[in-house]
Amino acid sequence: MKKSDYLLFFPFFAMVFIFLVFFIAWTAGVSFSDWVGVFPSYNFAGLAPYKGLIGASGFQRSIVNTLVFVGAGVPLITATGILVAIVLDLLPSGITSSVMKTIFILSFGLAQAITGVLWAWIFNPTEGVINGFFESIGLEGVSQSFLTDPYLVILAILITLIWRFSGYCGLVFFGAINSVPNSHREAAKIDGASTLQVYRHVLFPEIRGVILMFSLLLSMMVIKTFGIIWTMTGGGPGISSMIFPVLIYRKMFSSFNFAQGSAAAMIFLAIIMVFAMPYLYFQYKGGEL
Amino acid sequence: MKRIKLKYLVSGLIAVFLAAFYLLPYWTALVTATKPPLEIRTTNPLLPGSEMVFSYARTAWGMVNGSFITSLRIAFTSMAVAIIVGSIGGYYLSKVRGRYVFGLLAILSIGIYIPSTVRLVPLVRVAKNLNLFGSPEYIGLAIGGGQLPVVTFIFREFYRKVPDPLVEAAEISGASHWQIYRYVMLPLSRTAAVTAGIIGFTVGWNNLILPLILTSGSSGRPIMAQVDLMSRASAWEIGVWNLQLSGALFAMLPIVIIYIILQEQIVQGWTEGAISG
Repeated sequence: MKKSDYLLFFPFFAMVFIFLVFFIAWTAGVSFSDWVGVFPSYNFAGLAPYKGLIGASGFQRSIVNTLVFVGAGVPLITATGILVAIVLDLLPSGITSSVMKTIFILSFGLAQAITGVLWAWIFNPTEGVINGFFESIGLEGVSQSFLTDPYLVILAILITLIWRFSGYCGLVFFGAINSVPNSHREAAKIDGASTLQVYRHVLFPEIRGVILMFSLLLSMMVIKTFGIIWTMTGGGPGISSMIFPVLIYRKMFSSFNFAQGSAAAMIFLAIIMVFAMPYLYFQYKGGEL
Repeated sequence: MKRIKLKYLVSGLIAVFLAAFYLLPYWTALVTATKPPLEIRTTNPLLPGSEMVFSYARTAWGMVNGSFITSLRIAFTSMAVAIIVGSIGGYYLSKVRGRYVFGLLAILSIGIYIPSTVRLVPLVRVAKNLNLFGSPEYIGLAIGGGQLPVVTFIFREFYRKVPDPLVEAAEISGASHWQIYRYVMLPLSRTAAVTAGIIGFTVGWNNLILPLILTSGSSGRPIMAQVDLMSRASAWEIGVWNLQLSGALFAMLPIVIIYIILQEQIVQGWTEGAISG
């Protein structure tokens, strides 16, 4: 490599180092410091920020909600995604299928902040669609203030997450189904399998690997949700819909507890890695890296 | 025969239900954005008002139009980083095979999943110290930096299909990496550049958390921070839903247009990226 060639690669090397090494080391450093307040302070405080954080109710709720989002959200999104994939598979390719694909991918491409605003309106207690529906069929009693109820708020966010991710999920599954050799489908049909049976016993079992991999990816995307929750609830009511990105933001920029906020960021990074490592391992084994 | 009909009836019903679910937010937002406050309170949120009123949309446009320029600057910077730095990285990893390749691959493949919340403190401190607070280009660079692992892999995958002898021949005839990158790789990169560019633009336009922490004051606030602010105002004041929904609809326009025009490429980019990293 010539000397001048280093100049070509320098921006790449510099950005990788700054964004993926240096900044993370910096945050790790702050997580062991005594930085509380607007002005930085880097005195070593040991594990104190971690201890303080783990005792905080916002942290515990973030853990619980993370588990709920992965445990309930991901299966619900995957199930809806399977429906989307089947619908796309049965639709003859043409303008309808193309429009449906645009609709499905658009909800994933839309800003989370916008998604949050749109769904906050749907869940609006007095004028929104959901409660308007209950009232119009004479069930005023069922009307709920979704976004101010500590339990229903989770349901509302899960529905919003399904809306955001299941279309994308369905498109991925649809692509995977299409890469299954057509002969498998034909063979099952000749054996007398119904359409549903072909999906249930042939196509989806064959893409099990894709579904598993994508669930890992979904888990990471779902627990990284910030904009939707921030615009819908801000993590509230109280701390009911708190998850890590919101907790980190609130610790840092509402309470100015940068030490605990950084500690939360490091713990969040570790949680993400629990999902990323198996994903990377499968990719590595599949020769994709 | 009967069975086939039932199959299409059921799947048709599911398709209609899914389409309704997916279109519901846009529809009720459009309908509400054109209603006066009184009608929002008294009429069905799924039905249009007695007449369409556009004055609220005009007011909302006045609240977001200043943010359009700021967010375009953010999005284009992030897009430029994605394409330029991503393609250089992809070239290095696929064709140069320097001694850092393995280490870089390890860092980048983990880096794809590192959440941006881990970088908030450094980004704020650097902005304060270098006096870049509120600069759209800085926010774009910060967002682009977060996307770097993803776009680098897009270019790497793409360049791997370029035959090695092509690059080797250029090397033997004395071409520098600058020349190979500029005259061999770049002209071949269209598809990858479009995919990476869309990702860079979308993420730059859509990002909320970095605009929230890296800007202050009202003039030229990035669009998503403005949408967020408008949604907060509605918590106190009843009847501004038409304003904030109009604002949200304006804010989604660039993305909607891009996604409609480039649907095929976007679906392909996102779905292939999901499986092969």
